[in-house]
Amino acid sequence: MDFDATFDQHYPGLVRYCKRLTGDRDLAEDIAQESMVRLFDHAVTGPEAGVRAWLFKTATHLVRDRYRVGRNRLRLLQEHPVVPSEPESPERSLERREARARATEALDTLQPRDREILLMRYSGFSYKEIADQVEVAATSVGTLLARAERRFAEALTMTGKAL
Amino acid sequence: MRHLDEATLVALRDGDASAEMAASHLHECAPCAEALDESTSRSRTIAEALATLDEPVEVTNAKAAVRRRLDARRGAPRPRSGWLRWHLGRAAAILLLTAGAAFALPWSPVREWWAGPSVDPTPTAEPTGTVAAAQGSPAAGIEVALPDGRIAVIVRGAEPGSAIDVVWAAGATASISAPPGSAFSYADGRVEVDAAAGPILVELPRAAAFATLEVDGRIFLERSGERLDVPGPAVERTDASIQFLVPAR
Repeated sequence: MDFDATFDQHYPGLVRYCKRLTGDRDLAEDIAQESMVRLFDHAVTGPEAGVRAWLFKTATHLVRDRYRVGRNRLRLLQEHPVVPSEPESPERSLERREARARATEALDTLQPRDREILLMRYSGFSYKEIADQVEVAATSVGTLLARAERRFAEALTMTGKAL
Repeated sequence: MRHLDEATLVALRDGDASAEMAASHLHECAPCAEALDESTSRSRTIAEALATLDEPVEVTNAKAAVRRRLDARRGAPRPRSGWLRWHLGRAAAILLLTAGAAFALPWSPVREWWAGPSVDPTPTAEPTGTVAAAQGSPAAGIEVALPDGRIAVIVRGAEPGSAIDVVWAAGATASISAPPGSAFSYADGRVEVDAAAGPILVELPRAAAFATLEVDGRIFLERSGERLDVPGPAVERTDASIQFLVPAR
């Protein structure tokens, strides 16, 4: 497996997924890097989709078990408010921060598996791949995803009203 | 006329094959077509909300950091190959990454965990000596310390044809990971597993003075000091791991 090609192909998407899952950039990078380390350390081989699935699953487990995402997310958000990387107007900055806070808090209202299913789907995984990763019947993914989407959308609305 | 349920609408929206049959229904059902539009709109809102969390990803330094971590970790031999490597890697990831313990027994060396939420994710909050895997979780397991360096793993109900992978590991704990529905108990250096159907991963410390694996009354593996006997049906064996296939009863 070519290190550079594999890294370039999978790492950015993995970081984004972890960032969405944890709400913390440093943590996301750390988990994504640890997942890449394990990929190469275990010399995991297989089709490209299989490697990607392996990485996301590994990262998901790391998030679940090492970082207790549910409790950490709000604390991290409070301790490390997101700072935009480019200068922008105060209004735009405020809007961005509020949008992130809404999304983060809405994610936090979901049960861990609902959150994982939602984020996997919006990271481009198929229903079959999601089913394989969270180990549910493929026929259940639609139901679980619909529920997760509904709850996330409701939470977005509620947090929007609260802000 | 029966309308499409929400799950079907979502699957239809996402182009999943499971909903193909329902596509024709939309042409003749205005409420469902409208519901699909709403679902599409909701999906767009969700995607936009999630995108607000994204930031530019720095790759160059990250790549260097991963290389450093890899270099630091390359000491341990991992002579696995092919199919075994892939599946062991997956199983090991499940086992090792779930070792953070969703809940623990403070008075026991046993740490038990489940690796994911259930369909109704309300895992028991009361610690017990035996923990069944949460329904729908990817795997469950048990990790035990070896205070006197001895461990016996007893597996019952293993499905014929399923794989049991034994991996020799560094460290001083033994871990067993089994499919959802399995139950574990531990006492006096003895781990008992009532296994649900599917592969099992047993991680034993290289430093163990004495270790056995018994499957449905049959000794598969026995290690005493430097001596290792493998009377079980091993199908692949390396210095680092042994894979058994459970024979027909």
